[in-house]
Amino acid sequence: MTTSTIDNPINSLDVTVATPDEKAYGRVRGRREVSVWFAPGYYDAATESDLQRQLTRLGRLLFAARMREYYRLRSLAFRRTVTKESPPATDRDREFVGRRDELVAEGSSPDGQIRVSAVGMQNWTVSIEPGLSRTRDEQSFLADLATAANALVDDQFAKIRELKYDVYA
Amino acid sequence: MSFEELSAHAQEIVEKAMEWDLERMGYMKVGDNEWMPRSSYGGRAGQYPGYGGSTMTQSEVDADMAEVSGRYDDVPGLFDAFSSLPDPASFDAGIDDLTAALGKLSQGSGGEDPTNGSPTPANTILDGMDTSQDYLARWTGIAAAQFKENFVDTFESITTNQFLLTSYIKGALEAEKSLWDAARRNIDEIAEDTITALEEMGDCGKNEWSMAFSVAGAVVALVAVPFTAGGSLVAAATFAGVGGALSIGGAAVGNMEDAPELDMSGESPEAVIGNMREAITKLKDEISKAEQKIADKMTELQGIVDGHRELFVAPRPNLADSGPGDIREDMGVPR
Repeated sequence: MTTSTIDNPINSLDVTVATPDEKAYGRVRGRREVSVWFAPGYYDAATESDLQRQLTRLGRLLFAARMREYYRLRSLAFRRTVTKESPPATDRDREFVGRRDELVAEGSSPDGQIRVSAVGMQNWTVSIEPGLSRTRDEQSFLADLATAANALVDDQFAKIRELKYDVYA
Repeated sequence: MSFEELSAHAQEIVEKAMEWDLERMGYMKVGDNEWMPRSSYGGRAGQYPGYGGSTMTQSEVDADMAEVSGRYDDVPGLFDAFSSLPDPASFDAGIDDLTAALGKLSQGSGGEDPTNGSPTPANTILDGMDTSQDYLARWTGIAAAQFKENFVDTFESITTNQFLLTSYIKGALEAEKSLWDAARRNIDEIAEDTITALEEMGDCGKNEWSMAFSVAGAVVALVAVPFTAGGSLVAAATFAGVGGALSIGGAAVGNMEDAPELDMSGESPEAVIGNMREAITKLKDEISKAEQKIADKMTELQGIVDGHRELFVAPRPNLADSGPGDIREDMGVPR
């Protein structure tokens, strides 16, 4: 990436969210760096099914918060308040939005035991190999989860780029 | 604001646009402005396993580079044209001189500077004209009558008109200062917005933004004030000046027009830079229009001064052209 001559406020994006029961927390920093952590004691007590449910919800909340913050910073960058994207204006826009809604982004931990996916960044799925949480300590689990989440984000950005090449080139 | 960095911005715009295009074509960046075909990539370059598996020749790569850079080779020149815009601070000396002149011409009451509504303290030296009538009470004759009529009676009106005239010229300079300040800001915004738009093109949402041309609002209209002719207002010489948005106070009627906006969106470098080109053309147009507003007002003001010279300058005294042979006659004193 070329060193920039401008100070784009979006580069300093940093947003943290918690699930409503404050058991799981997620943070996106600098656009796409994801980290996740749990309330003290939660991981040890939770079943894989609990973790999947919490993390699925966290993924959806984190992406929504990320986009809200993205638009807030984008408003600063362009000196005009924008809170969401405008409705599609052209056939290309309609095609882009339609295909984006169906876009599947995926990521997994190095050993493949934690897998995250999102369809249109709306419908989230987190799969954890049964028994994994009993064999892994919290720190190592969260590190693998972060790897999976960051792989999903990279996959999403790569596919969005491909989609834009295809639709708008 | 980073107006001074316009040329660096332009360079960055070209690099970012090329970066997107070359990645789309299947190249990967391997150093500063160094690219090589990505063999594993499904794009066009990937069809030629040579560099790292691609069979593309150097001349094919060079042709791609030339083709892509050719798409944007006008960009630096578009910004170069703005690098020599007048410095807004260069108008300060003239504005200061005219402000000082206003202080000399102010008679206090009614001496509000119409370009910013601020009162200008009276120059007490001018008060001396009131007492001059007492000194002249015993001077009679044609010369005395003419002196009173041409210089004493009209002194207040002419000084007021000179005050207004000075103020309007100062207003025009302030308008120029505001215009170039806004023009510099606007071209810098176009450059920075283009870079941001190129940076955000890869994000998930629609890449849209807008540009407000504040240069259009930099020249503001002032309240019309009539030039006075000894108590009777001369309708033909009523004038509404212009001021600068930077310095204007409550005296402004308001912006002559709202800052026009240009909505833009682009999901490819061609689209983003196409918008940028359009914005630059629009900015040039708005600068010309703002300049024309000032020029029109100054032309109108000059017309008023030319057409009503007596409102601004007392007539030349008859005695000024008198010599030893005719001074007594001109003064109305019999030989």
